This record gives sequence, structure tokens and C-alpha cells, in this order.
Amino acid sequence: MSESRVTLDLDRESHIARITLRRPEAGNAIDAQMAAAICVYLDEVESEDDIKVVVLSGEGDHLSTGWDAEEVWRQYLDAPGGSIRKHPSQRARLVALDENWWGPKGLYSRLLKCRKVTILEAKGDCLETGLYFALCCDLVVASHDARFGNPRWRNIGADGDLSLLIALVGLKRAKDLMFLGLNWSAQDALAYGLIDWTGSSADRGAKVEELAIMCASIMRDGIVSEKYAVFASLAKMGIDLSFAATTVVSASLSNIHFQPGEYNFLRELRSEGVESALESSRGNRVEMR
Amino acid sequence: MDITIKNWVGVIEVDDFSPLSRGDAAFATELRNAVVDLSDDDFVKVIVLRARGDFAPFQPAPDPGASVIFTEWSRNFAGAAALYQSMTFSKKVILTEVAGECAGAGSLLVLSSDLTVAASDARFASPFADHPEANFVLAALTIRLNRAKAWLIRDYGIDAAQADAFGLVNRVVDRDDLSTTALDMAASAALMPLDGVVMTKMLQQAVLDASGVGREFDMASFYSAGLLVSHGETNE
Repeated sequence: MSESRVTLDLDRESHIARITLRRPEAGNAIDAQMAAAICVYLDEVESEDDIKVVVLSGEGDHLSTGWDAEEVWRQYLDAPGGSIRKHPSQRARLVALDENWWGPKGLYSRLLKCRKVTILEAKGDCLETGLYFALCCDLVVASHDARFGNPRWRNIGADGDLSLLIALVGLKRAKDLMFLGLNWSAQDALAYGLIDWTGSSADRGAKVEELAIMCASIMRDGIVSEKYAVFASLAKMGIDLSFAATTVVSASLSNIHFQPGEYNFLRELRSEGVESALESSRGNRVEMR
Repeated sequence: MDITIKNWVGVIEVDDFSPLSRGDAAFATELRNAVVDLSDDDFVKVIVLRARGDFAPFQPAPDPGASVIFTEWSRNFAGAAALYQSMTFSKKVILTEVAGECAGAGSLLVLSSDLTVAASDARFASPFADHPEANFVLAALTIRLNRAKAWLIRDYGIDAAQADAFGLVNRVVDRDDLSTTALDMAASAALMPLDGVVMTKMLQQAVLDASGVGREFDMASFYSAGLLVSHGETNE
């Protein structure tokens, strides 16, 4: 694979694989190519009977600052039917969202339904994609500097699955992120049930290692049996239904009509550039009718 | 009932919501109509339910009456077009602003709303003992299954600090700051585009549907009928 911004290390002796995001200069912002690379690595990990545990982490100060803002539009253009007219067709948007993120082959479905134990090492910004890494992994270890949220939702509406978030933190608490644009500290995330451990940055790596070694000591059949029991519960919870609904709603939200005075992230992205758009979208905007 | 709209926020203000606890169908219908009208208003993104005093002081709940459980009572309180489902499945963000006593149907309003800000003196009674229309699935999704079961079975009150820890409310503030905080939260939610608000609520509905929230409301008439035919044994 030519994608160097994500790497895979397999240690068959310890039974632990490590997938690492290596785009620190961009806060490990994720684009479709990186998502595809993670999926390919998960395929490889799952084909390795000697691997029992996958650790997902990021190089640099942040796990992930989110979806690469410059990629937001491009993924639709690259999908079949995406570049036929000035604006990508609705089918192109649906296909891109399904194949890259929410569908059976997409990043979040693949991570959620990985047959190995998945452990996330969270730090710094765990926003948007970073939040979904936390929602989809089995165990989440976060240092005190971690913050979790999805500031992009405030610009367009919630365009990510809500079923996992609600299942983990509760219906009303989920709306802190959905409607109020809040980011949760690691301490909050621990109290709400989003993560499993928080401590100092210095201790974070050791805790990940401890959990990985512990999980790797479980017999292979036990791990896979437990994971399939989880998959059955996820099915009963309607996760696939919710992921499919997310694809549909997210495609619609990529095409919304803004009322006078409402903030338009894509317009600012095009006219003012990424930095300005991100600053406005994540700052304290005040708009009145 | 006073209704105002300003800066994308519709506010419904009443003396208190206790008429719902005593089964006042006219009040329930008026409140339902206000919620539906604001939900349909293109200049509203957030609906605030506000009481001038305590949110819902205790009122004894009357038996609905066997002859109307599946008809009139259901239409007024539990059915698809009744108040609580109109709130739960509204396409706008609904925020409840709770001070003081929140008894019976008051807690059901809190469960049916998206966001809740509570005064530090707020106390939330269990809605399950007297209100068959109380939705246990919503309670389990909101405060989690174990706590919802304890709330149902033990019928205890939850104070504001506990409510915050349980996830029943989003924020707790001094009573003097309640209305200001509610409007600040409403203004924050109103930053989302109107289309985004509506579609976010539709996406949430997929989760509520998969969890059986609507079906639980449908069961209310059966729960009510069960309560009417049940009777205590000696010494109960």
C-alpha cells in the first residue's frame, strides 16, 4: 500500500497489532484514503490468526482532529457520478458516505465489527472521526488532555451515527454534543461511559500496553466468541439500521439549504480557506435572525 | 399559556405543568397544539417549556376510566398525536427548564424533551407509579436501564445533582440563573441550520424507533388497563 500516513505493525509473538495514524502535521485529520488504508490493515489483521489485539493510535499531540476539511467535498467528486455536473449527484454522495464510512465496507463498520479486541489510545483532539474511533473501539484509554466532540455538527446538523453515542452515554447526554457543540474532557468522558480509563500522558502508553497484554492472554476462541456475542447485541440494537439512516441523512445534510444569516462552512471553506473555516466553525459564533 | 418567538426560539410559558399530572385533557391538548405549531414554524429551531413557579407541583392522578383507556385517554395522553409523542418526535429541539418540584407528568415532559436545564432545587419524582403513559424505554435510554428500573420500582425522587450525574438533565444552575441559562442553551442549539436541526431529529428518530420508544407509548393503554384490574392482597 502506498498510503504512508497510516502504518501497520504486526507482532505475532505478542499477538498485538498496531495501526498508527502518521499525519501529525495535520493533527491526524482523516481523509478517505487514510480510512481505506485502515480498513485494508484491519483485513490483514483479521486474516492473521496469531493476532488477537489491535491498538489504534496517532503520532503527535492529537489522536485525530477530525475529517480532513479539504476532503469534505472531494470524496463526493471522486465517487461514481460525482463529477458529471458542477455539484456531485446525490448517488455519488450516498456511495461515498457508504463506502468510506458507514456501509459494511466503511471505516466505522469495519472497526466496530473487527473480530480482534480493539484498543484506542486517545489524546489531545479526539474530534469527529476521533470521537467515532472511541465509539467503535472495544476499550478506550485516554490521557487527561483528550477532548471528545463533533464541532462540525453545529455547522450542518448531526451527520454521524447517533445509536452508538446514545447507547454509550445516554439520550440526553448525547445531545450535549448533538445540539450544544460541547467537547467533553477525558474526565467527563470517563464519567459518561465513553472511555475506560484516564490518567497522565506519561502513564497512557503503559496502560494501553497493560490492557493489550491482558487481552492478548485470552484464548483466540474466547475473543472471537465474545466479539460475535457483541455483534449479535449490536444487531438487536439496530446499529446497521442506524448506520444506513446515517448515510441517507448525511447525504441530505451535504446538500442543505441555508436560511439567511446561517453559517455556511463550505462557502467559507471555498472563499476564505481551511484555517478560517475551521476557526469559525469551532469558535463561539453568535448569529441572530 | 403564553407563547413567544424570538431569535429562532419559541417559548411556551405556563404557571406550572401540574394539570398534566391530574389528567387535564384540555391543558394537554392546548400544550400539544402549541408544541406542534412551533414545530411546524419555519422561524423556530428550539422550543422552551417554562413554568413561572415550580415546574410541576404534585397533583393526584385520577384513574383514566376503563371505558376511555383505548379511545379518548389514549388520544389525549399516549397516542401518536398526543402531547408526549408530539414532543418526543418533534422535528425541533425541545428544552425543558425545571425549577423546584417536578412531580408525575413533569418528569415525563423532561424525558420527552431533548435538553433540560435544572435549578439546583429541582427534584424529579418517578412518573411511573401514576402515569401509564410514562415511557420506560425513554427513561432507560436517558438514565440507563439499572437506574430506570430502580426509579420505577422504588418510586423515589431524584435531586438535581443526582439528575445531572444520571444524565437526566444537561445542566444544573442556581434558580436565579435558570431562565438565562435556558435561553443561552437555546441560542447555542439555534446556531445549527434549520435543515440540520430537522434532519438531526429525523436521524435520532431511527434510534428511537429501533429502541421501541413508539411501541412503548402504544402499550400505555394496556398498562393503564392492567392497573385498573389489579388489586392488592391482604396487608398489601
